[in-house]
Amino acid sequence: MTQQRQIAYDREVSRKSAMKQIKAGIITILLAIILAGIPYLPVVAEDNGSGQTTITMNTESVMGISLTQTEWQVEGEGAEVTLNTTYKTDLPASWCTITNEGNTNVTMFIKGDDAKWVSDPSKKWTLGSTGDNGKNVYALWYHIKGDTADSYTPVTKMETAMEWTRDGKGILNLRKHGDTQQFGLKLLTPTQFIGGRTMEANIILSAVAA
Amino acid sequence: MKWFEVNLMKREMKLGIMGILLAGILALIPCLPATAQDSGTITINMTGANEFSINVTPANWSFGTVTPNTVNTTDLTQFTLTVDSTSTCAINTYITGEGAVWADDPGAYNWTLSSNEQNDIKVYVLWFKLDGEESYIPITEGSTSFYSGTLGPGDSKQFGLKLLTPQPDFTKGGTGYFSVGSAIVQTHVTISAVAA
Repeated sequence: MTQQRQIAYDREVSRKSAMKQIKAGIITILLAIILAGIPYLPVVAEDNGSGQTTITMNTESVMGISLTQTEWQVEGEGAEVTLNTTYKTDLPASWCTITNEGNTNVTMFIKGDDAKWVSDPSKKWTLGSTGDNGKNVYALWYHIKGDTADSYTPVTKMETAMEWTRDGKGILNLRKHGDTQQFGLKLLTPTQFIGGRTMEANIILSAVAA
Repeated sequence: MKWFEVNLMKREMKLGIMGILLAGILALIPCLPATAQDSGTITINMTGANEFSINVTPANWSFGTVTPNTVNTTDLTQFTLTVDSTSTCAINTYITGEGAVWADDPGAYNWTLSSNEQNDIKVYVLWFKLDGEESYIPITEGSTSFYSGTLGPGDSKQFGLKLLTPQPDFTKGGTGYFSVGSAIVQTHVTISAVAA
């Protein structure tokens, strides 16, 4: 029995030793291959190269804008306006939407006009140039959505680029097809006028290629 | 310690020493000539590296004013790929394209390069054709073989491009337009090379 155990032990020692030899052999061969390959490494390195051309295309342009509002019926209590009173559109910042229906980068301009008595256009309220009202002088402003809260810019009889009052926002441009911007209006009636007359004024918004 | 254990240890040591010697010999093979002792001959071995560069001209090209859903082509000699004459190996060449963008504001408006030769809204198609070849081959964002053979130092290949613009973004008065007008839309075509 003791002799059989001894034989089994010897076999186990012999097997482990053989495994060690195989492992050592594999590691040695790998080491040899790595060492032998080192001098050749730079030779098999490759470079890449590329060339490029830039292609450009110009697009055709077409201009066009649309407005969601074409009329503002200014009404106080009793469907009439009173002296020296301020009126705002029901949506102060988003009453009207301008949409770029073309594809040209456009700057929006706005221009007001005197309000004329529909029965006799020679009788009118003059549009003030400073935002101040007076006798038969009314004032008009716009407010662009996203601008400083409750900030308004006067509309005058001179065509003027619409502009944010907020620093850095600058002039209102609609750069491409489908771009939109909303705004609202504010009106201050004259300090003195003759009542009972229906007064009508036109505001013109125009797009000019930027 | 048993006699056979001693023998096994000796065998292991011999194998280890032989392995290390083999590694040393293999590692020293490239250096052997330098260690020659008796002769007056020195053998020098060198293998040149693969170096190459290619160039595409012109670097810029404009199709001019394009309209939606139209094919625009260049001459087949409009572009030239040249392998620098100082290159040291033959090369295989590949061509790739990319999306086109509004030059003023790339993030605001762009076209995708088609992968199936079909245009769509904001999807354009680009092909190339080597001078003297039969047909146009689509350019995609993936790598496509440019020239089926290899090109050597000083070789050049002329080619042309064909562009199919996207379908219109909108229509006004019966005419189709892109969303940006009087705008420059820009893309790049890249040819790359690897050593053959």
